[in-house]
Parts: sequence; C-alpha cells; structure tokens
Amino acid sequence: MIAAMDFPPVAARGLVKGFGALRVLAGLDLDVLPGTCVAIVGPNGAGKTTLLRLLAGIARPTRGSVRLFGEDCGRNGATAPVRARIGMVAHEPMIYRDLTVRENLELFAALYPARDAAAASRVERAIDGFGLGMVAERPARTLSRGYLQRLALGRATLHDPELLLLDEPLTGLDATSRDRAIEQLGQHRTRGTQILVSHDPADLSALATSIFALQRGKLEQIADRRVDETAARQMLRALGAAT
Amino acid sequence: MTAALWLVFVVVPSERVQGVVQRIFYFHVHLAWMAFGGFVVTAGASVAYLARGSRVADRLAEASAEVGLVFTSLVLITGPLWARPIWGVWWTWDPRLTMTVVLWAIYASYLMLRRLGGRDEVILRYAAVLGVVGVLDIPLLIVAIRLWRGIHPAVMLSEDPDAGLTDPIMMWTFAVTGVALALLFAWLVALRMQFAALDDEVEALTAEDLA
Amino acid sequence: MWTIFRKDLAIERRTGEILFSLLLLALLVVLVFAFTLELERLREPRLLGGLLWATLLLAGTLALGRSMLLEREAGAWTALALAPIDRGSVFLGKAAANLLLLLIAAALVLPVMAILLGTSRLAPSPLLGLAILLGTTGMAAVGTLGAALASRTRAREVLLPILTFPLLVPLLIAVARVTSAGLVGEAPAAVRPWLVLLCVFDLVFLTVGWLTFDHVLED
Repeated sequence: MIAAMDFPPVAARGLVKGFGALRVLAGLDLDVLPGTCVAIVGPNGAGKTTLLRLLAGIARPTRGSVRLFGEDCGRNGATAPVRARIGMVAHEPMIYRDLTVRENLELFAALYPARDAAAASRVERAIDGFGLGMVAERPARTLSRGYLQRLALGRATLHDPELLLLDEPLTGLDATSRDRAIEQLGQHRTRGTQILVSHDPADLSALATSIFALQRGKLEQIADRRVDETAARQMLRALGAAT
Repeated sequence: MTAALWLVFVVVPSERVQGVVQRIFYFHVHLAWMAFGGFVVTAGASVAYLARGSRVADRLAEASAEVGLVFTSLVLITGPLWARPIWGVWWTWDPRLTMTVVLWAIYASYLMLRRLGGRDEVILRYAAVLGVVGVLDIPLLIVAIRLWRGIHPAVMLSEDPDAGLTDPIMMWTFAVTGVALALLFAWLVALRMQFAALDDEVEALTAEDLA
Repeated sequence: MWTIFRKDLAIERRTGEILFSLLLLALLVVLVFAFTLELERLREPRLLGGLLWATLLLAGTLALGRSMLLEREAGAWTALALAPIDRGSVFLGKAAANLLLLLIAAALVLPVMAILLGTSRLAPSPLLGLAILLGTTGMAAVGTLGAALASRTRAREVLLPILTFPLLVPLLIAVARVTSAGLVGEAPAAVRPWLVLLCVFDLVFLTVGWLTFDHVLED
C-alpha cells in the first residue's frame, strides 16, 4: 500500500512502561522501516513482550509515544483503521478453544474488513498456507501445540497485515511446518513489516534482517543485517539470553 | 482549623431534646451528605481519568471513594445508635437507610476491584468505569427505593430531624458541624491523595534503584 | 456485533455448558428455597416473582462469569482488542448472547418453580413476558460489563457478584414487582412506574456499557 510508505510503520520515542514498582522499559526509541524484520532479543523478563504489546497499540505506555503508520497511539491506543493494519502472534494462541480451526479463522476474517477481492478466499489461504487442512474441522481444544501455533499464525496473517508482531512465532513447530511458516513469513515481508521476539538463534537467522538487544529497559542495535545461526547464538549468549 | 472546629463541636451541644443520643444527629446528617458527595467526586474524577489519563484524577477518585466509604460506614453506625432509643428498632427499611446501605456496597465493591486488581493501569481504568457506572445507578436507586417504600408505607417514615431543630443554638451547632465535617472530608481526601502520590514516588525511586 | 453474538452462540451450541450449568444451578437454588423456607408460604403467587429473580441472579451471575472466562482462556480477548471493530459492539454482542441464555433459563425455570413450589392461583398475563424480557436485559447488560471488569483480577468469581449485586438493586426491586403483577394477572397500568424504571435502567446500562467498553476491552 502506498500509504504505508508515507510514514514508518513504527516510530517509538522515549517509551517508559512501569508496573507498580517495576520499571520494564526506561525510555527507549525504536524506528522500523517497511519491508524489514526487526528482531528484539534479551534475557527473560527484559520486557520484550511488554514492548510488543505497546507496539501493537493494545497496552499504553507510562510515558513516551508510539506512532504506528504516523498515528499517535500512546494515549488512547490504536484506532480501528490502524488496528486493521496490524497482526499479532503472542504467547497465547488468541483463539476460542471451543470453535473449530475453520470457525476461528472465519470469525476473525469477519472481524477484519476485506480490502480486496482476494479477501474472500483468505480463510482457505490461511488453512493451505500453514498446513491446517487436516485439522480444519477439529475444535481448537483438541489440537496439539504445533497445530495451535499454526492456527495462531494463520489467524494473525489472515488479513495480510502491513505490520506483523511475532512473539516466538515458531515455537512448537516441527521441521516441515517450521520451514513452511518461515516461507510464509518471508513472503509476507515483501509486502509488510515484521517485529520479532525470539530466543532461538535459528529463528533469528531465518527471519531477522536486523537485531536489537533489550537490556535494562533500553534498546541497542547489535546487528544491522541478516546473521547466520552461529553468530546469532553468540549474540544471545553474550546477552545471557541463550536457550 | 479542623481542630478548632472540633473543639467548638465538643463544647456546644448542651441542649437535649431526645436525650443524649440526639447529639449524634449533628454528625449523622452531614456525614450522609458528605458520603453522597464523595460518590459524585469519585465519578467526576473517574470521567477525567478516562478522558485524560491523569494520575491525579485517579488518586482523587480513589481517595474520595475511600473516605466516602468510611463516612458511609459511620452513617450506618450512628444511624442505628440513634434509631434504637428513638424509634425503638435498630434498623428499618426506610428509603434513606436502604439507599445508604446500597451505596455502601457500591463503594465497597469499587475499592475491592482496586485492591484485587493491583496497580496496573488497566485496573485503574476499570475502576474508573465502575466509578461512572456506580453514580449512574444512584438516580435509579433513589426512584426504585422511593417507589418500593411508597407502596408499603413504613410506619416510621415521619423521620424529620429539622422539626426538632428550632432552637438557634441547635441550628448553629448543626451548621458548624456541617462545615467541620466538610473540611474533615476534604482534609482526609487531600491526605489520602498525598499519600498515594508519595507511594508512587517511592515506587518510581525503587524502580530507578533496581535499574 | 452479530458476529460476536453468533460466535458466543456457536460455542454454546457446541458445549452447552453455560446453559446446562445455569439450569442446574437454578434448580438447586429452588430446592434450597424449598428446604429452608416454609413451603406453605411459598405457594403464595406473589412470592414467586421474587424467588424467580433471586434464583436467576444467583445462577445467572455464575453463568456470565463463565462466558467471560471463554474470552480470557486462550487470549481471544486480546485478539478482539486488536481487531478493527467498534468495541462497543463487542459489548452489545456479548450482552445479547448472555440475554438469550438468561431468557431461555427464565422460561424453563419459572414453570419448574411453579410446579415444585406448588404455587396456586396463578393467572399469567403478557405482562409477565415483558417483565422477564426487561429484567434479563438489564441483568445481561450489568452482568456483561461486570464480568469484563472482574475478569482481570484474581478472585474474579467472588468479585463479579460483589460488583453486580449492588448495581442491580434498582432492577431487582422493580422487576420483582412487575413479575408478581404479571403472575397474578394485574393490569399493567398498576405497575407503570416500575415498567418505566426498568426501561430506563436497561437503556442506561446498555448505553454505558457500549460507551465504556472502549476502555474495558484492552489488557
């Protein structure tokens, strides 16, 4: 979309987020350019998930501003038109366990306005894209961890979001579905932007186009290009964030 | 200032109409009004918090609700103390009594939500929503209770404190206690807000030390 | 709004757990009434209205809490917060689904109560239907909002009734009268002020829920 080019997808300034006595983020800045996959790494409890939620416009910063596609989302959260351009994979699959895979996808397809004619078949594309055909009619409650993760990926990319926020998106996937998911996410990056949180050097080398370390509430860039798995592992180890 | 007014209050009420317990009325009526007023303050501050997200508004809402709960509790305690010798019963489902007890419950639930929810911003917003909802309930409550007791008129509805307050000294005492209690209310709220602000500051400092 | 409504009903159709537990709980409450209160007095038709609402209040509150749990269970609530939809319509959708459950429960529980308690001299009129509709609407509105507010805290099961019961007092006072009037075939004119109060209550809480859900649907 042309509009996406006018403003950077994400521009965060002086972000502070505290929970009671705990200050998780201490005034960090982040700019993300279109078509990149920015990875955020750091030890457990460093605030990676918190940061992702702020960038999704579903949590509010204590101080500082988050601009998503040029719109200030700090005070009141993201508006509906901005939310329509964001997709998210979180720790929880964010689905209804009592609905089938297809029903879940259809529900969320209905909640996102269709942007073009291709949208009509987007449930089918999500099912095919993430290899959910076998389990499409099964209730989510009966799915294995891996299938649930695929459903979460399918749900998050259903509306072809311009900004995709990924919190450990490949956990629990077997080798085949992992490759498939990486391919899907790679395709997405040609049209959109990604922010990735991961502990896994293999994930980082497969997806990230740059890496930031989150430590003591601040961000620091530690790689500005793709890195291989060995280099990623070393970086994680240096941060004390290796798995 | 408050202390001075307290003194006045202790000195003045030497007149007795309904016996010693009548004195309680000087407190009781005003306490009730303050408590109701506190609710309105909480709701107003809640709206401000939802609109602007200012911490001060939230602190005001909480402080006002807390002091309001204490005042409502005092109303509920002083009421029966007076009612027992005068009406012969501890409790009656008089509209005002019923109203007060339900208000007390709404205040309590508001504070309970805050206690159980922790100090997360989301809970602060939830509490603000409840503060607004609570005050909207009040007019409905008043109408419902009036209608309810109207259908089955209570025996002792002719509770009329002003009828006994013809003596100028009593009027004066009544007015003075009103002012005193209003100041007390404001003072307590201010104190409570200060306390909350300090609490936040301590947390911020601790957080900086940790970082 | 209707997407959310249909979603809740689809879940309920599959599991049936909310309606089933709602009905079972209601039945148990009726039994408790029968055991603890004097049976002879319970025959009085005017009492049935009050008993019905006490039953629905106790059983319904738990059911509404359960329906909110489904949203939180796998994080779907966050997905709803993220979706580009009017958040007020999420409230209306959930409230509508809860209303339907409460209506079904009321329709089934009332005759069972009348039979079990042996209520005599009943003369139900259309007013009864209106009373139940208005009462459950208000209960669904307050309950849905309350369940959402309580769902973020620990001890949410305890907090939900603590939040909703005081708020529901005006509704309960009014709806018990109108229901009793409907049960004994009184003219609607006799309870007009109560009906007005019920309508206003429902309107106020549907509106306030719709307006404030923007702040509530977020975590």
